[in-house]
Amino acid sequence: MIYLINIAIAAVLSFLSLSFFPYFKIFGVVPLFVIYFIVALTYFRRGFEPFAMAAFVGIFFDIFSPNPFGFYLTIFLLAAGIVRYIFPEGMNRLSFWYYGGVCLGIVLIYLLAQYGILYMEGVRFEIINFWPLMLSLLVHAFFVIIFYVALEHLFDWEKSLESKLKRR
Amino acid sequence: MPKKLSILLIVIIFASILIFANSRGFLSNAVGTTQSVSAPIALFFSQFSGRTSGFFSGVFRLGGLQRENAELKDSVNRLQAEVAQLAENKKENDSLRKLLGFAQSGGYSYEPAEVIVFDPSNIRGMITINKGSKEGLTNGMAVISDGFLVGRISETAEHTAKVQLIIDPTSAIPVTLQSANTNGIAKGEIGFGLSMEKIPQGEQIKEGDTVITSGLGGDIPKGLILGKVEKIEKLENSLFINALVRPFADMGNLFRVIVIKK
Repeated sequence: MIYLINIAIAAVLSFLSLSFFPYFKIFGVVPLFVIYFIVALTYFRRGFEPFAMAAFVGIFFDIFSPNPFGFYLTIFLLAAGIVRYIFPEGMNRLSFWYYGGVCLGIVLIYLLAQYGILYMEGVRFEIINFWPLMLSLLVHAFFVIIFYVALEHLFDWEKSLESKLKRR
Repeated sequence: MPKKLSILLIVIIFASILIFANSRGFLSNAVGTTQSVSAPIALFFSQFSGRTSGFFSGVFRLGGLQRENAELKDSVNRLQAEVAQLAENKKENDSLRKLLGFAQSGGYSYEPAEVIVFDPSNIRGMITINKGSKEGLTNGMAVISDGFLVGRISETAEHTAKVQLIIDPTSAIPVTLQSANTNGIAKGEIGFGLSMEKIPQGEQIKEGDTVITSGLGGDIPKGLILGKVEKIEKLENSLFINALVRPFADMGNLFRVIVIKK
């Protein structure tokens, strides 16, 4: 049941990130709620669920992406992998600093990987070309804070729902 | 083997298989089907976004709308006069072509499409539209919005197509200036800018010049407007001049586009 709810949330967040939020960019940056969600999901859910979710959403993003196929798949799986590596047993409460740090770390990897792909495609950079990267990190930091609050409530609700279902 | 490592191994193998299968074209049908199936849902979100942003921009810009309306009415009157003049010129041009035995120019048709997906990165510029190879779209075709060039088709599926925007850092389009015969290449810049490069030193170029496609190479017709020259950068000891170009099309608010088919 919880698994299905999380799939639905991931699907809605994917469509929002690809088709809705791009029209409300802040300094040209679209919030990547899917990454924030996968990071939080890996904190709370054990087993393969976060990885399956990361693969499902990653493939979906790759289908519409200008980057080589597998780019988003790798980034999202990496997000889940890093959290699982640092917190193999998961956490009961979401620590803001750990959560924010991991999210921004993944966003930084995601942005640098895009620069890497562009470099391989023959684009050469100057210092000024890294300005969008800095701006992106700042805007993502803002969205991570907002999403952190929403996710705390979501996972609290999911936990209570799960315990209710178990009691039945 | 520790559990952590086995999970990591499975993940890497799974991702590698998918990437390899796609590079060999084994997934093209699956990718096309997924795009077609998800297109209506993506279109719903995109249209919802359009209505929402339209509503908010209307509310916040209420004061400026009256002035803008008056300016637009003036523009319409002026453009109507220009259209009438151009129609006369076209008639004259056609009869002269006939007299000289030239082949008819043009031969383009137009396919309207709606934007269903934007790439969420602020580094790349790519959109997906809800028309594809079934509607006769092929790679390289020009895509316009509000009369201005916004990009060209880079990949087609049955019912969807990816459009590489002119602001994508890997985009390069042969262009010229409307006022002078100065050729160059319009290249996308990281951070959604556009620049005109490879302009030979000594060529005539000034700020405010309109940049149009030169029609050299590819399926992009000549004369499509991209933007205007905003700043000219003359580098010492360089054979070329660079110019920063401001695109006329609002790249962040593309809802409907038109594909020019040959």
